[in-house]
Amino acid sequence: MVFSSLVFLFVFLSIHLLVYYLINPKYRNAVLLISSLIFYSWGGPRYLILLMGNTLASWFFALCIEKAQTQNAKRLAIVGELVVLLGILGYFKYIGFFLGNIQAVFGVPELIPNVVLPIGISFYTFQLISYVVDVYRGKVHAQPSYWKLLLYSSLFHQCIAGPIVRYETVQSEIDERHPTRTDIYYGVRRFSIGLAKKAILANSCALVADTLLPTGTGAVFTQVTTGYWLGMLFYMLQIYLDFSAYSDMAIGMGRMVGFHYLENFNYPYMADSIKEFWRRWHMSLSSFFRDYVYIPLGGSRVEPILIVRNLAITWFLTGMWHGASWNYILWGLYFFVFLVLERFVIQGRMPKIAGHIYALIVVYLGWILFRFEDFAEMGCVFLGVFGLAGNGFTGLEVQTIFMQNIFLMFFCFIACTNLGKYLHHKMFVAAQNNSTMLMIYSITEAITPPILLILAVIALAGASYNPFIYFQF
Amino acid sequence: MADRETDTYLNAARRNRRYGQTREGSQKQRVVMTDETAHQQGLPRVRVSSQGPRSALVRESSREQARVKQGSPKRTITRQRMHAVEVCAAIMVLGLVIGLLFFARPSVSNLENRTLTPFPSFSPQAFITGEFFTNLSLWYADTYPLREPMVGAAQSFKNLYGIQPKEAFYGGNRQSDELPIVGDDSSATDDQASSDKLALGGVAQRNKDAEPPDMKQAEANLEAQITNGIYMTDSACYTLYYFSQDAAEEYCGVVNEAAERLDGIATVYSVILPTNAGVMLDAQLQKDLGGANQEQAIDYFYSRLSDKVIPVETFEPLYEHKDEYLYFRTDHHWTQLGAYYVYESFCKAKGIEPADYANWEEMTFEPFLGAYYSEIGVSGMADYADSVVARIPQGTNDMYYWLDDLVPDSEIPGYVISDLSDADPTALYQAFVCGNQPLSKIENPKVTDGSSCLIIKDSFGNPFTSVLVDSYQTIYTFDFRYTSQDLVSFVKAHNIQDVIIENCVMFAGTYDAAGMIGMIVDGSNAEVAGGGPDVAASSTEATNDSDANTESDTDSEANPDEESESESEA
Repeated sequence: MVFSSLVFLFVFLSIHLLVYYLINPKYRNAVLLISSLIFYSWGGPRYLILLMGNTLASWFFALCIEKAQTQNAKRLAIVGELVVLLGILGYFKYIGFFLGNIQAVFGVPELIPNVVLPIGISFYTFQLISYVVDVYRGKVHAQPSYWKLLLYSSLFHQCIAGPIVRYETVQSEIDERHPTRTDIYYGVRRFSIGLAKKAILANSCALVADTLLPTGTGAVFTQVTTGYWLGMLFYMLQIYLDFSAYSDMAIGMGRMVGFHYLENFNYPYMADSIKEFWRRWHMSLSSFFRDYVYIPLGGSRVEPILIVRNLAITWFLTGMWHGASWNYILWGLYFFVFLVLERFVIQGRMPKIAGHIYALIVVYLGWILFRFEDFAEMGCVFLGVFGLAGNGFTGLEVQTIFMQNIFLMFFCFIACTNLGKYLHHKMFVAAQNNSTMLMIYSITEAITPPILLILAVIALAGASYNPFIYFQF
Repeated sequence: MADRETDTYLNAARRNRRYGQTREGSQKQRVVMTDETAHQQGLPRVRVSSQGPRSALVRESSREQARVKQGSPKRTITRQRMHAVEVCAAIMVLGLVIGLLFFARPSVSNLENRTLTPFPSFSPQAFITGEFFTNLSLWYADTYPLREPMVGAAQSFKNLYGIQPKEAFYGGNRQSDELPIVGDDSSATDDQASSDKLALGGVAQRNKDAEPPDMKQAEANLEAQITNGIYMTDSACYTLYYFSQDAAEEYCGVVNEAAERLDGIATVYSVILPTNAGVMLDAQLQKDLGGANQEQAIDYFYSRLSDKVIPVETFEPLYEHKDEYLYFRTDHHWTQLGAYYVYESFCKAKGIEPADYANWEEMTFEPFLGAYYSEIGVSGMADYADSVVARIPQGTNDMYYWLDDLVPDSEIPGYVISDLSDADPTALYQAFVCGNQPLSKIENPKVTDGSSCLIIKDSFGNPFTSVLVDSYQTIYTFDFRYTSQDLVSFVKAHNIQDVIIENCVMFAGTYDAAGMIGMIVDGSNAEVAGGGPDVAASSTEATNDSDANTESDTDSEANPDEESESESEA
């Protein structure tokens, strides 16, 4: 089930919240857990076993670590955890890719199993690993109740498409939550913003991107230069709006019931460097790799050559996490190159404006690697954005699409910046000592969520077209 | 900017502090407010703290406390916020309740002209794979009671995304193959790849290795031909055609095979029609948009047909009359008048006199808003809505059609020209021969020479069939996308003399059309469909042959009955 669907909104979420708030508070965790399991089973209950099994293993190993008397026993348990979880992730996500590569080089094996990727496995595996490692490091206590740990790993707010919530963020809230009225309001508003962002902006951008640069059909080979520009621009907008909308909805739904998840995006397209971009983009993932891969490898407190090695490993894995295909690995390593460049050559000497333009261009070109799994298509689009695809500069179709979406485009530009947040804050300040502004502010606060919700529902109903890009991970 | 902003903020806080001293607020809500505002303060807090972390923190917390103490603005804001929560909750509950109104769920969409997703059938297998719930979600959204008005609202909302240009182009990004020069054999023989294909006597041969098409996918691909490459001005839309030589070869190969199989049994005519763009638009403009010159393309198709197939001139007769109302402006189809000019050309090819079209009774249905209108959804298009002008043949206006041609006695009576005066504006093209049906039959009592023809057609064939009525005693039609019939046994069983294979060039130029017609030609169509009528037709072939000759009318009606029996036995 996707958040941006009528069945989720009007059946699942409505009933879930009604039951949650009407039932005796001591059963609320049960309601959350059962809802989450139903939500997860919607896409096929067979993979529920995997989610429950992974959680069981992590629950077990975490308790082992806490009970262990010796360092060796602890190590054994953490190794056990990593072998089980990464083994399962590796099998379900990467076996086809891995064997495909072996086959391409050695000609064996002849048959490559077609393994279906279980929904959300990349996200909940990382959540569980972070939990067990944190227990190992003594940062958190092991959760004695399996069901509570399952609630953590399966919670429908974030189980399928993130953010990757750390156990330490929610450990006390799993036991006890006291959502206030403002919490609920904030959650509702955040959810409405996310839903509208997804249903109206991201889906519309996707339509433009897919019209101009469809994948896997070979149609990109005949596009004109402006078509490549516009198509990739809308894809860049789409991927941010889509994914950050999903995080908005997750954070909003968490807040409605008293969970305070950490932010996952911080206006990444406002970054002044690639390093800053990655501090603002999918923060729960980049901080995972920072805390569980990069720093354990030695991080930046080693010789330069080792820093490069550490960065290379981290970015290889980051790329690979995004999908079992070479283009994602290439995408990760592409950022590695610019991060090394920034660390050792640029060293923060670029002026702010130039840095901002540089970061946007690098990210823009990076999305070409991300979008096209087919290397011929990827290469063609790469040449295309530099006007080298040989199909002419512009055409009537691109002009039509540009004109028909020009306001949408500017609106999306604004949605990628913190202008809205800034204005909201200005209004809030002004409202403190001015009764007219107070009136305007509080009415804005009152009408924004319902209007966004209604617009989003209309857009959802109007579009049968509704794929979540991040579902494949 | 940033500093000024912080200053305002601090002043506000100071004032609030003064104000707040006189008021008391609940401790709990204070905490909430602080937490909430802390989120909103992201920007200035960072800036303040850059001046000195500790002092900023102190200032921050005193400010927070100050604001919390003041009552009125906070209370107003909270009250309004709670309204928002209530309204949102009401929307959600309302949505839930409306979704439960099962009786109000529609099963078809007039707006989109399609059947909506049915409620999925439950099976343990479908449950385990998740297919059941996926389809359930689809069904829920597709048949949601308020969906239709919401889809309409969403369409209007989309107009706000930008400006509708006067001259627009949709779904292009395609390029025609280079058109080979007809009659220049060197182009074929020079090229090793194509000379393989053109091996036999210089005419197209069917590629027997081709996979049978996936019907659903093929239908979708054909549908896409209409919307893939629409050129729009402020007075009409046009569909371009993109030539693909290999697909053209494939299509001609299938037509040649039909003629081969029917050699000595029936005459095969090929009618390949240009699209509206081909006739109405300047050739250079089509070229600029990546489209093919359709006159040359149709010539190429015809050049690839064997001499057992009689090609019917289509481009020239239409082009001569391009100032008349030959094509709709809001729909990709042609008018009955356009069909009549091609019919005249057909009569010339066959050597008969065309019917007295000028004296047929005329009906007009308007306004007509066709497929372009539904697909592109630009509201300005309603300004140049069409009218459907349909003349009723003098011989008869009665016909039969089968929704399911595997159930022979399920024929439904209808009209060659239906009176659609009260129908939905988007549905008026259905006036001709009851729309796209797998199988239909028209008996003209004013002709008694036993002449009969079978038209294998797409939707362009509907007005074309209507103008043919006066020229035959019996006309059968197959819609090549939906029929389950087998060409040869059908032709034999019904003693058909002429087989007209009609396609608009945008369909004829696809592998999908070639594959689908190929299945009708070699009978695999009937096998796939279950073998019912095919088996019946061939087993009753001999008797039908003689019957049809003597008592054509009643017996060909009776034929389907026999088929039904054999099917139920099977």
